[in-house]
Amino acid sequence: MSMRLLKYAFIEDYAEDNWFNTPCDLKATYDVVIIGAGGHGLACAHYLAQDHGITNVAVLDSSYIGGGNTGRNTTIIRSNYLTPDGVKFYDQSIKLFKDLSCELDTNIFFSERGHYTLAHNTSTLRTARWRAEVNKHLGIKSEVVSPDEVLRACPEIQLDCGGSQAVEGALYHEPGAVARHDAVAWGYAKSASGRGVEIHQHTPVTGINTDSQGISEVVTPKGVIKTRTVLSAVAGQTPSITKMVGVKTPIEIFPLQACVTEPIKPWLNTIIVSGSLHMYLSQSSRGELVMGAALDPMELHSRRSTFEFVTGLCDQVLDLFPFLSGVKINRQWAGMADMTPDFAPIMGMTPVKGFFLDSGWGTWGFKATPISGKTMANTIATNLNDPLIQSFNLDRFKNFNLVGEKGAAAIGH
Amino acid sequence: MKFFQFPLLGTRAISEFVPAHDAILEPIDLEDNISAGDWVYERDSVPKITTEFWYHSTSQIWFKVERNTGTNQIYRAEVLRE
Ligand SMILES: Cc1cc2nc3c(=O)[nH]c(=O)nc-3n(C[C@H](O)[C@H](O)[C@H](O)COP(=O)(O)OP(=O)(O)OC[C@H]3O[C@@H](n4cnc5c(N)ncnc54)[C@H](O)[C@@H]3O)c2cc1C
Repeated sequence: MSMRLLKYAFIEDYAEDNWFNTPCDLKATYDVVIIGAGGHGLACAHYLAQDHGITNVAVLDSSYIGGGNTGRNTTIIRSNYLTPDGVKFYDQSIKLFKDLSCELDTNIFFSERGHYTLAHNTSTLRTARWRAEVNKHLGIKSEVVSPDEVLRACPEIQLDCGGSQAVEGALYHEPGAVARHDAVAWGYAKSASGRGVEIHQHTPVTGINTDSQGISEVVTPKGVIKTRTVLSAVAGQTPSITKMVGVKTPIEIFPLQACVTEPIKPWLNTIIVSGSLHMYLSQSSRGELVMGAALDPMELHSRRSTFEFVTGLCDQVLDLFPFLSGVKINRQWAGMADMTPDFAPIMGMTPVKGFFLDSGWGTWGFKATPISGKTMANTIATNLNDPLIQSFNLDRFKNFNLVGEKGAAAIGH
Repeated sequence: MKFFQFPLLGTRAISEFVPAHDAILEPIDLEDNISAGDWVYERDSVPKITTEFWYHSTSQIWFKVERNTGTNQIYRAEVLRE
């Protein structure tokens, strides 16, 4: 047992410093106001302070740190995307993730597991080959493997899948990983806060004012703030914020649900995804199976989870892993995914001067947390879109210049 | 499970339907204020009452459904006719 734990147990007034500041009132002015204290908003605050020395920053959240999609996601990290722009971007994110525990002095439980995207038919196998070739070309470890190799990595899998959709192969991606989502948000919050950034929880943004020079004020129930720079990093609430400044986007909000089983002995050391079965799973360090499915079918601004989701998902999971039939589901929940037509994010500058967007993270944004924070901080500090996010700008829709990542989505949508 | 009273079909689970997107009208003149890209892609996905096209595959009937995207309450469903 560590001395630190013993101190907690035996010395009454031994307490760790608070991780984040709890500022009382809002100041009248900030250089930058970040809306949303999810992983993305907090990462941007951290890199603004660390890389650019910009610390007169307020991060405002209507709820609590990490309470949005950051604390609701299934934490899969990978870079086996389909377009060169996507692959390069997510690869940089993985590189940042690997050193993040040290950088933030917070254990984010980053755990490289390898990632298998199962192919149950010829067309998914073809997409797997395509992804593998794009990945290899860009130096990313991805390859198409045989059913036998899947079985070697996961002996519990039933490859004939109950007889109807046998596994014909898989895209194997060695860098596939998981991490603790809360720790990522808390680590960035701790670091930003330690550098002077103010994090105001329970402070919703209800309006944004503009004048002839662009952004001028941010309105909250706790007061009006003067600022010339606003970053919207609110994922599932993006359309409400963009509406405040008259910026139009193609984002649509759909619920995405997930669940965990009761903790069981470790047996699954990798990440298994099946687009055809609309399901994916991994085992957390606590022993729970973390499982997810496709999006709910209808636009909905709600975080209610449904019984149909669990029954539908378990039905598919049992096709691959019948031995789990006696395992109980412990918890289920939903987040609101900000979907884009090309399954790529919408990032960077907008037609409104001083209004920056970090959005369109749909079902795939947790893995991008470090790199989106870093590139958005650079975009804000230099007032120029970071080269890595150039193709993710909002104007691509006006010009029919889409990115085309749908084929690399984890699950069929 | 969520149910609703549909004309012709009676009470049905809404999971039986394939929802399509908002019923957006064809613009009269694209050149005027919006580009084709804007018309194809722009959405106003805030909580609101909206009209959608839903398809019931077993009966092959399309419906026009009025629904609140904030609460998921369905107000009205009518058979879609030309
Ligand atoms: C079930 C599920 C599973 C997922 N699985 C994965 C996965 O395996 N891998 C992956 O990479 N991604 C996954 N994702 C996607 C990922 O979770 C998100 O894309 C990512 O967490 C977005 O982070 P964020 O910081 O941008 O947004 P969020 O974490 O949602 O933070 C936005 C914050 O903004 C706040 N906010 C909203 N409106 C206002 C307002 N008006 N004023 C002030 N604050 C406001 C909210 O309270 C919230 O805290 C999943 C998502 C879900 C829902």
